[in-house]
Amino acid sequence: MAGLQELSLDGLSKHYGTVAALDGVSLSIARGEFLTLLGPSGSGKTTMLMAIAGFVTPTGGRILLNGQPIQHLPPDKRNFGMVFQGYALFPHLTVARNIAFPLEVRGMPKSEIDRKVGDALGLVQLGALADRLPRQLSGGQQQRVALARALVFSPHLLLLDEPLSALDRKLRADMQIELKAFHRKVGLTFVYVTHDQDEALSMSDRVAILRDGRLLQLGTPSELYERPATRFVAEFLGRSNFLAGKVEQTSADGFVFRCGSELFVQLGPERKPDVGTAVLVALRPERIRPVEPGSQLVNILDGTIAEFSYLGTAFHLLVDTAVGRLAVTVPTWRHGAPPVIGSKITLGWDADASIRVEQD
Amino acid sequence: MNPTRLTRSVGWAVICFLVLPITIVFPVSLTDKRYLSLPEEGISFKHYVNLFGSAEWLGSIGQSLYIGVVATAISVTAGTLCAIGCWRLSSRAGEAVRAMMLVPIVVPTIVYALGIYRFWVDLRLLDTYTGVILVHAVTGIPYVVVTVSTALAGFDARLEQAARNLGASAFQTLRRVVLPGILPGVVSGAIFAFIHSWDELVIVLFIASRAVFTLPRRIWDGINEHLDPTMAAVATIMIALTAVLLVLDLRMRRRKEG
Repeated sequence: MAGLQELSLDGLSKHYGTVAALDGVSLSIARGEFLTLLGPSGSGKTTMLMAIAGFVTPTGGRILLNGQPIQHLPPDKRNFGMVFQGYALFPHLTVARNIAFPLEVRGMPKSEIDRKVGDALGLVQLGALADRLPRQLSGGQQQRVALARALVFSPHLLLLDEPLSALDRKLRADMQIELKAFHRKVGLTFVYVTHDQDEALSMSDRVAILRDGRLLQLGTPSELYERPATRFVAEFLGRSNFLAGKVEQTSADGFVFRCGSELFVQLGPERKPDVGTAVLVALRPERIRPVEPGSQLVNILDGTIAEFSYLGTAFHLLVDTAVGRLAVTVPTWRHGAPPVIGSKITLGWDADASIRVEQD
Repeated sequence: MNPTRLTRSVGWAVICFLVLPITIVFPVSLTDKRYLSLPEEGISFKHYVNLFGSAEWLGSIGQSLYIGVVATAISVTAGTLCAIGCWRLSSRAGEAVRAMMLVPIVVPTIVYALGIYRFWVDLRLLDTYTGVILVHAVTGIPYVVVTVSTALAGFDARLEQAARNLGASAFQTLRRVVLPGILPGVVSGAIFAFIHSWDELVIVLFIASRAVFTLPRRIWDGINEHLDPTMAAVATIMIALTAVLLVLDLRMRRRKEG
């Protein structure tokens, strides 16, 4: 296995005429890390992966492997493994010949190829299917062949382009776990592209959120979920309520802001705004809970249940309040009787349950 | 919608018009007379015997095969590379080149032949194998470009990217991944290019005289000079060979779909 490599992007840009598919993205990927590029379609995540793989020539910036610029190397000289969307297995070659392909084009001796292909087939537990053609395999098996083929030549890192998008929901969940375990087993750097938030949160060491060709935020899944930097990130990763208001008062570790007729307290490590500035605060539905009227909780709000849906483990409520309609998720076990539409409810949340985000 | 009696009859009429004139050569080739006619007193294979005993006819068949095979090899190589290049460009430039490649089919053959004649005079290629092979190769390219382009339209471009990513050079990718993927289109193109050369007459009439005497030209001379039924025997063989090639082509396409 080749030593682990460090990849970094330095101001990487790709312009098509006046349109920027990628606009000055800089980030570095640690050795052995599972990094996910997450964004809606057109965010530049695929362009970024294709630039790393060598299929898109950047119009600006550099791609560095262990400090050496590689953006001008052709794809076949980069030694990066890749799992394509739809897998791109060669339809005229058997499973074993597909996996042997990268070794054959490198001119490796036959005996060594056979040994490595055998090892790779064992790694993905497909030894019994070595002589099948790709079209005779299930989606999950095809994916394992694609993985084995991308790893058999000891690449510097592995690129994955929405590899699970062709699978059905159930198989997708299984493959997420399998891929994650696989990453631990081979210890290689994975760069994974997806538009599926759950996939990104459940599998990655770190997630890079992209939008309109720009890197919005990079962090661990929990950092991104708990401390989104912008409204877009908060909305893109899960659901969120937003409270727009004006700062009334500041203290050492937070501030009080006015939202319509209500006053709320917000505590957190983020940079404190000056009194009088407009702020936007994100509040996750599961951080709000129903409380007794007159509760001592610092943030209290009265409302009326407008809609609810039953999700098995939780009720999802929409509550009309003085600051607008809020989404609230309440665990089923906590709620007791099912909610009644039109009934009064008092909501409360801790001062550190919410977070100030940038409007974008 | 069920075909009505009328459309059915028209359909059959068209098929008859297409096929019957071809089938007439079979009985004629078996005539017992010494001129072009239908058999009267009995069936005779003497014209086939005559054909295979004639150095002239056999020589022409050999020449046509030789020219056809070499010209096809050139057409297939050039046409396939051209189609792949256009596919890579996949833009207006590619479309324009593809359209230009069809010119040899669109321009009336006689105009084309006249142009080639003038050109070949200067190049001293008249009445040479090289001259005929070159013309047949060039005029065969469109068939290959069309069939290979069709095959490429159904070829997953990601396979090419996958090959490059796995370390294959551009040439290795072409040979190991792209060509196997479009092989049915390439073989189809080869079959059409060969048939094109095999029965091409007009250009050969212009640029060949004594040294090169292809089979269609031998038939043409035979008709002009003496109405020898051996021609019918030759025509039967030509039709049989063409039919075999077309059936091969059809079976290969079916195998690809199946």
